[in-house]
Amino acid sequence: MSKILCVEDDHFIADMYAHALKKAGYDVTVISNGAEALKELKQTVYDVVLLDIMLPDKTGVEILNELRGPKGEGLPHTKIIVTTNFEEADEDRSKLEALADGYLIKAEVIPSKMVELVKQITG
Amino acid sequence: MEQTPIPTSKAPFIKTILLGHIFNIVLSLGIFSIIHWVLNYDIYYAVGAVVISATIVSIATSLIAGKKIHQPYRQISQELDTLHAQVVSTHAAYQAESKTNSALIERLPLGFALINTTSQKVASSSNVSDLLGITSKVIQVSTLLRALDSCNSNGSAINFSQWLSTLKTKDAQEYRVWPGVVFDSQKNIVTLTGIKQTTACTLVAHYNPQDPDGNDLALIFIDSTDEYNLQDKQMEFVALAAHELRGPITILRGLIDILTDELDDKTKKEQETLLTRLTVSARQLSGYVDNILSVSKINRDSFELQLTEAKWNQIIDIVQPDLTVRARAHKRTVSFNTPDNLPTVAVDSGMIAHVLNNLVDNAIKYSNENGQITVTSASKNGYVETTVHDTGIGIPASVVGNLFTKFYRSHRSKQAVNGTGLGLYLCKAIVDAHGGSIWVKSTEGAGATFGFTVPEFSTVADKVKSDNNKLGILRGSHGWIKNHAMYRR
Repeated sequence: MSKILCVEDDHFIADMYAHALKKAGYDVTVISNGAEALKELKQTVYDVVLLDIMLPDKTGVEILNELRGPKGEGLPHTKIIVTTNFEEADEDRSKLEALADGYLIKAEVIPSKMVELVKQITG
Repeated sequence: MEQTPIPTSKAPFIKTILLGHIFNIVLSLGIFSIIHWVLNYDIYYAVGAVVISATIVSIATSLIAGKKIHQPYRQISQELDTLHAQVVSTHAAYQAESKTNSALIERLPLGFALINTTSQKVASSSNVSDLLGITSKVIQVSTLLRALDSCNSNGSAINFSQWLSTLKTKDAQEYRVWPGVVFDSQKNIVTLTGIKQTTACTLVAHYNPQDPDGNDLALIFIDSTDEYNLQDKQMEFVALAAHELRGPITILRGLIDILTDELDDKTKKEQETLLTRLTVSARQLSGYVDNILSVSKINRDSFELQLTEAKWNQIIDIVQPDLTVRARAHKRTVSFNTPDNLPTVAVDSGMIAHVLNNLVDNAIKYSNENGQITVTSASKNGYVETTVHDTGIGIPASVVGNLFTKFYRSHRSKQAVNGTGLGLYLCKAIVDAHGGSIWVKSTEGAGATFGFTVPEFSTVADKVKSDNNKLGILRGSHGWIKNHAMYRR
């Protein structure tokens, strides 16, 4: 069973994706801030991280930098998918392309679509 | 215009003085001869006195008679003098008024140009060059027409040069307005709100091949740059608000998706209909927000396409289920005629789906209950053309030219139909960016047909490959995922 970490401060959105993913058979953990997410990812290996880019304490790019490290080689077995409702800022684009495995607009990805995408990523 | 002095003659006055002196001399000689004859009885002086007296009498008679004869001419002369004075006064008043009008025209946010397209002569107000971004001080007809030809005509069904060429062929007189025509300047233009390099005008053109002076083309440019800048600022605010709306939309669409799935075998038919309507409305709301954000990108010049080779049938297949559900929810039917053998096209799949969604949405909005919408695609001269035809209320000819303008909503749609007035503007921007064209044909009361073209991949393959090599990961409307088949080139 693939392990999914959903890092999302809007608990309506987090619960919604978690509900659909759990129903599809995934082991889902929800965390609502960057510091806890970093701590959790140091302790547990996840297959997929759905990482909100705007968290109360850290930005997605900051968390990505910490997780991937200076050479971008951290967490090699974890697919990190950034989730947002904002367009990529030009200055973040190259960093996201280098460090993340995906970038999804939440308003365009309904739960059934998210399940479909996660299946393809982990499959 | 230079003031022309009106001459005033002094000749009659000099003539009168001269004649007066001659008369006095002759009279003095006459009196002298008479006195000498009386005192000396000299025959010569007597003859002289007679001659001189006769001359005096003759002159006096002539003067008296002449005075009577010249009386009417004198009156005419006086009337002419009065008239002359009036002309001088009127001329001065006209010149003063003309100066005021010129000053007023120069201060108005308007540009005027009167053109003789045959002799290539143009008379224009001084601000025309600024409004059109022409750098040369003296405007040539060819420069002016070239500026109009290359201008962004903001979605009008026919551009200026097409319009002029058609009228010249038909030798017909016509008046036409292009709102929101944008000119990119080669120089900085100082306006009331700062220095800009882009101006926006409403262009009013009148072509009259029978003009008596040969000035067959009259143009008025109404400067609306500041209005457009204000719209841009409003757009920035709306875009910010739209971003905020994406959060609740995500939840709304997500929960409807979960409920639809989980209640699949538990709902009655009426409840299914309600859920479908919820799904369609939430998708529509999401579509409005997407339109606003896309237009905002266009305003910020950060709108970019990633063209790739795609099968048109596959793009239609992606949008077809959602559009079919939307049409059915509004009690309309939509059918798709897409031949299997269409050539591949060069498109940004996510963006071109926006065009199809917007055009079919419009057809749904403006058609009647149980109306039929037909989406037909065909290969045409290096392009794939797709038309969206509805049997609805149609569009009056008077508003067709404005349909693709930002924020434009027809008089009927303002009250009867929801919308942002951005959908068709965005469609045109997307189609233009693909190198295609978009158009509309309609008869009021008899439906409308919107059509657009996208280039066949083979015609632009080299450019697409070159552009894509410069870009990073391929993006779709949902975002991107590395090494995912959906996002792989």
